[in-house]
Amino acid sequence: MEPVREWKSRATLVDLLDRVFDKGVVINADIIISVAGVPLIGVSLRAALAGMETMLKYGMLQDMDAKTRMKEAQYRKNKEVPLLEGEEIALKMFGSYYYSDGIYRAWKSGYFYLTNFRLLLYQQDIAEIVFQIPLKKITAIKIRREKSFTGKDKDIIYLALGKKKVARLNVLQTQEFIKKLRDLQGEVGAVLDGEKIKELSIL
Amino acid sequence: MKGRYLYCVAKSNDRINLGRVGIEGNQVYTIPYKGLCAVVHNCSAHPYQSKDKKVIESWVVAHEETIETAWKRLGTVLPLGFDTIIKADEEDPGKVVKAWLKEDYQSLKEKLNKVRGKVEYGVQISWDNKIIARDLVEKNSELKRLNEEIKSKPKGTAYMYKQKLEKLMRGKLEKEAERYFKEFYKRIKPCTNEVKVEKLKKEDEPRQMLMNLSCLVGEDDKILGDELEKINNRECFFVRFTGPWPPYSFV
Repeated sequence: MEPVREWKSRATLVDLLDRVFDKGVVINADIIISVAGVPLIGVSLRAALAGMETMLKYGMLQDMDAKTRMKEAQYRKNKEVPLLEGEEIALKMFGSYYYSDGIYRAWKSGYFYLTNFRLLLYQQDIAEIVFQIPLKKITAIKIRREKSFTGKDKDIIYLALGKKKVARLNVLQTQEFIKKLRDLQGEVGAVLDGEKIKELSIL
Repeated sequence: MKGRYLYCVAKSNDRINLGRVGIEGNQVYTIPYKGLCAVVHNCSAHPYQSKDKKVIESWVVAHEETIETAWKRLGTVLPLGFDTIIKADEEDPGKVVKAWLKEDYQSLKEKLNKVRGKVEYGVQISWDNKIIARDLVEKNSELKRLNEEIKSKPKGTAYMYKQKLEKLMRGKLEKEAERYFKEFYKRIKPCTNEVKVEKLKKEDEPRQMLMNLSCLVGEDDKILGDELEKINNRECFFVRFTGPWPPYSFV
């Protein structure tokens, strides 16, 4: 079977629209004006361009029972963050974590979840927890104002994790995040030592 | 011009001019950084917007065509979505683009390695629900019995039986849809490097979409097409196979 590629025809134009509005490399929102697909174009205009409605869930029939919906979950690309028993989410916030593993270094973006047990960073499209640390293991928090490569100032959060490790984070609303983290740490009885971070060498 | 409209990222260390192939006939060129380059055109620091469908369509087509031109000229590309514009308020925008390439260097290189020599195909499989329903009634004794009963009963009772039949039918159709989804997925997956499950699209009755996939496949691979042919040859299924696309879904 040969693939259809006269994509200027109506049918394949729809396939193209699906790709250019929702997909492609994701860039840090700091430096771009617009993110393709988000309200600029307008959902209704996009639907009009597509010429047909997009059904929003797997399953063609409206009344899907709960069992089928659960089975559907394994095939859906959007997967929920896996929580432990008794774990509750206190805060969800978009941000990035600086991952460094010898040669490979990168900022990984996703959603931070602050729970009653831990802090984790979850990347939904690959359904993976990219970073996590139990609240008790965070021994110090420090914020540093740093210049990002765009020339603008960014708040970078440094978390001391035990004796030698330091995690570097950036979130959308730094103050709200820190406050929540401190509140939760108070609840679990963790002790924060602002001085410790000076002693640590930052990776 | 304080904006750089981003089309894609490719492997190249050269400053190359691709010509006036961009949106609205803009000059497209590369901004290199250590073996990677961004393919851009200069624009003002605000997004392309229009109330006119035709205008947006022409922009989107130009966006895709530019990416394909770059693909032919430079090899593997990482496409960006429509209207991704890097802005610079104080700095030289070219510098901001380079700084971005530097910042995301590892990640971009990794992605380029992942998709090198590969292309994306769209696969949509639909069925004719009338044919499937007909087959179900034939094979299932309960449905068959109900169907027969309806023919012989007076109007009022027949209506109630019909309701019952329809409800039962809906349940069975859902189960069949799930069964076929799993079967086809199992057959398609080994013909690809990677598969992404996409949202279904509404179609005109009696057609219904069962699955919508984006597949990452080696450039000269024929096995996916061969497998899809087998499915398409079955009376009640229709396969839409589009591509090759730049790997939008895998970056």
